Amino acid sequence: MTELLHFAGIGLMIAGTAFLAMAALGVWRLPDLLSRLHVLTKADTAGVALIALGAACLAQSFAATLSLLLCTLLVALSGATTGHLIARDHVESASSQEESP
Amino acid sequence: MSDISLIVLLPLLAAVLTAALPPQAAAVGALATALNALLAANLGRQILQGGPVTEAIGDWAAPLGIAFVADGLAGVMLAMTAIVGLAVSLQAAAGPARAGFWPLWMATLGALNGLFLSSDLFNIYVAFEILGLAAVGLTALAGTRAALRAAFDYLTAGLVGSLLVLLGIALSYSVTGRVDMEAVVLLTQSDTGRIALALIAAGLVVKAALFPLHFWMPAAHSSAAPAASALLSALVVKGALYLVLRLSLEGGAGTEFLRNTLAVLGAGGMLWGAWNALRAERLKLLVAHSTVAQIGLIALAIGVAGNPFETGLWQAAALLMLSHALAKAAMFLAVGRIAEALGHDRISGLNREELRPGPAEFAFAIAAISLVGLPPTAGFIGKWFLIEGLIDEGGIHWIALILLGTALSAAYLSRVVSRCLRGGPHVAATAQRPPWRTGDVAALGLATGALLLGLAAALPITLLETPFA
Amino acid sequence: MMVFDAVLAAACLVAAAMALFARDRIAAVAAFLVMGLLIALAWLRLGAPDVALAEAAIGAGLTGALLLRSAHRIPAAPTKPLPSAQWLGAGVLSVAVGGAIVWTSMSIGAAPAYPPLVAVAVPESGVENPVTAVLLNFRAWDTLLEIAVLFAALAVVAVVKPVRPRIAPLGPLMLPFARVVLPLTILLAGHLLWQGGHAPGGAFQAGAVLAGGAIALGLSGAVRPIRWGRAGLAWLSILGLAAFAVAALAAELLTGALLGYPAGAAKAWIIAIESALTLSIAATLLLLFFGPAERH
Repeated sequence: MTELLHFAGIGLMIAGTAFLAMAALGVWRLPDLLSRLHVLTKADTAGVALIALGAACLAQSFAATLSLLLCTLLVALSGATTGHLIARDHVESASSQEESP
Repeated sequence: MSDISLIVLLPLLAAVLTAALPPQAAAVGALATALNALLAANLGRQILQGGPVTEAIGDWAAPLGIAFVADGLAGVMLAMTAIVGLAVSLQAAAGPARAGFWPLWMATLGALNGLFLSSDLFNIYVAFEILGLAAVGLTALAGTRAALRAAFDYLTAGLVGSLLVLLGIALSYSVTGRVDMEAVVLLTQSDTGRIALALIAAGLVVKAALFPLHFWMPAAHSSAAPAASALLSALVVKGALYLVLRLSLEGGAGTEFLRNTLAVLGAGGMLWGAWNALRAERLKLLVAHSTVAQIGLIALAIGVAGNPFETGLWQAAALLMLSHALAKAAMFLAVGRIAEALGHDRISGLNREELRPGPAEFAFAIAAISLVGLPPTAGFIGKWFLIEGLIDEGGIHWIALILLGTALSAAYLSRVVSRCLRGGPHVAATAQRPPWRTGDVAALGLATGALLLGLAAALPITLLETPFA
Repeated sequence: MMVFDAVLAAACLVAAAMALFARDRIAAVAAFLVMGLLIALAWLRLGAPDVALAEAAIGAGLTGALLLRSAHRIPAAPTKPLPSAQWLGAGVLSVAVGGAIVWTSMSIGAAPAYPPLVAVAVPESGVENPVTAVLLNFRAWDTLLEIAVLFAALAVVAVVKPVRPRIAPLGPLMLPFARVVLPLTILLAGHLLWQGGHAPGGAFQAGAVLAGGAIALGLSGAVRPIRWGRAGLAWLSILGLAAFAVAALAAELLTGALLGYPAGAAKAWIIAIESALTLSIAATLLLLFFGPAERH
């Protein structure tokens, strides 16, 4: 059982890292801000969640799992909020630029 | 509660009170300065009677904890701060209220007292941080564009100095495993330790505005408000000079390499500052450049003092610090009053027909006499001590330099004194004397103090001669 | 782990270079934030979790917020290149100082003498975390002066009177965000404060976290930019120095030694002082961000 959890944890963390790498690749390669934001907010949150889940499998303690859960929630929350703020700023400045010239 | 605990904590508590109650700030600040002077006097008495007073904070002995050591040198520095502080507080309490002056000045006072008493390098660094920040605030207090610009340059230079000092302390911790004063002797015994000491000293040279790293200072000291200029020029730079002297004392023969460098830099500063003071067009700038020259002289005195365990020549440096503090604070307060009465501080405009010289001009002249070092002023005693010691040690070339610096200082100060004290036919018959103000009392009191200190020089000298802890 | 450390060190340098050379102020601040987080990681690798926490909370977090707040108002850096003599001078100086440091740290062999001293005395200090024992007991005087540094910084800002930031409400998502985050930061600050007694944590970290949550609330536009609270914050901001100084003298009245806590009650004293410091640090940081109270 412990062996199994161990391997599951490592697998989850590798998957999470892959998600994060994908997010980084997206930010690097995608053409405009909104699509970059799109890949960043989703893949980032998923990546952190997977890594946290993997870490919980490795740690196998209730207290550690609880704080990892809190971490994931905070990352999701702040990721969504900052994504929203950046997009909002972008849309607003784009519309004000259209009006001004 | 011991005098040491009170003298370091009362100013900080006063800083809090003056920040919390702006309408009562002047009263609280003046009261705190008066109490500070009483505590300093009492501490000086204790040192004279029973030798150095030490106190381990929290009963944790160094190097685990931090200790306060009040020896003769610290006592003289505390007294210097207390006397200048009294005059500055008097001037500030009577002058126009400037929001923010009192918390900054009280923080400066607390930091200086802590700095002089602490025997722990890292703790002294923290005190320097308070001192540096508060000094930036004091510079910016005038609120003009030039003052803000000067304050920013001051902040930048101060940060560079702080970083060098901190780097040196970090290295000295990794070399010796301790940061109390005992570390200094250990540092002089290895190359790595000497690098650490050199870094600390380099940071202090920036903070003390010693040539050639003084570039930030004339603008800062000349664009601040009078009371702030007096504090910056008389006291704040002394914090760094004091630590340089302390390092030289603690290191004994091992810090000779620092002293050699200091002597050269000091001689350069003495001449460069005097040259710029000769060419200055504004009175405040002249006084600020004269500070560069005087700091040079003090650094030179520390530098040529030799091994402090063999000669007492370093006492000359302490005396010069004391006399410069009194005279320079008097000078800045007097210049503030002169500029207030005239409406400008151009030196060429000091020849006025409609105004007779007043007490501020008189105070400036006495302070000038002390800075030049004519008897019986405190400045004379300091220079006499120095030159006498140098004759014994055969340092004729240093004596020549000091005399050259003295002649130059007489030249640039007489540019002012000859103009503002001139009577005679060009003064209109209807000319009035400017009315007395409290600022005059403060300036005149300090200048008289510099004069009388020359007559009562036995007191600081006895203090300085008390053996170390 | 060698590879990780090398990559980390290189990344720190790259982030620092980006912060220095970015033309756009916001980009420079962003690079600075990244550098702060990387340095926090470096502290962790060096076995100093306390410093890592403080670096992440204050160095990267709040300093970043303060820099961003000001970056909007400052025009982009001038394009005029520095004269090559200045480049050369700065380069020579940096290489000299850097070389001296590298050489010194290479040639130091002896184990530091201070940690064993601390280890012996920790049982008498009232707390189990050696870092807290040093900061709040053995060298509490340093910490008191550091609080005075914060006080002086706020006094300087009050003198310079910077323009206050105009707080435009940041859209409908910010308030729900603050509603979740602020209670969490209060909880976390309390946790860090208490935890400081036996594990990494303490007043500086707790205060920074608390201020971060309050800034989120202020930026949400839910509270009228603490207009009514500025005077209260001003009082709170000086409470720390006042409480610490009074406690130092009170301890001397009780035990005869400045900052000497009564035997057996050391932990209570330390936690009480740290609580006051936490509130005070948070208030100071908030005032630095939102601009200090008007003077009379």
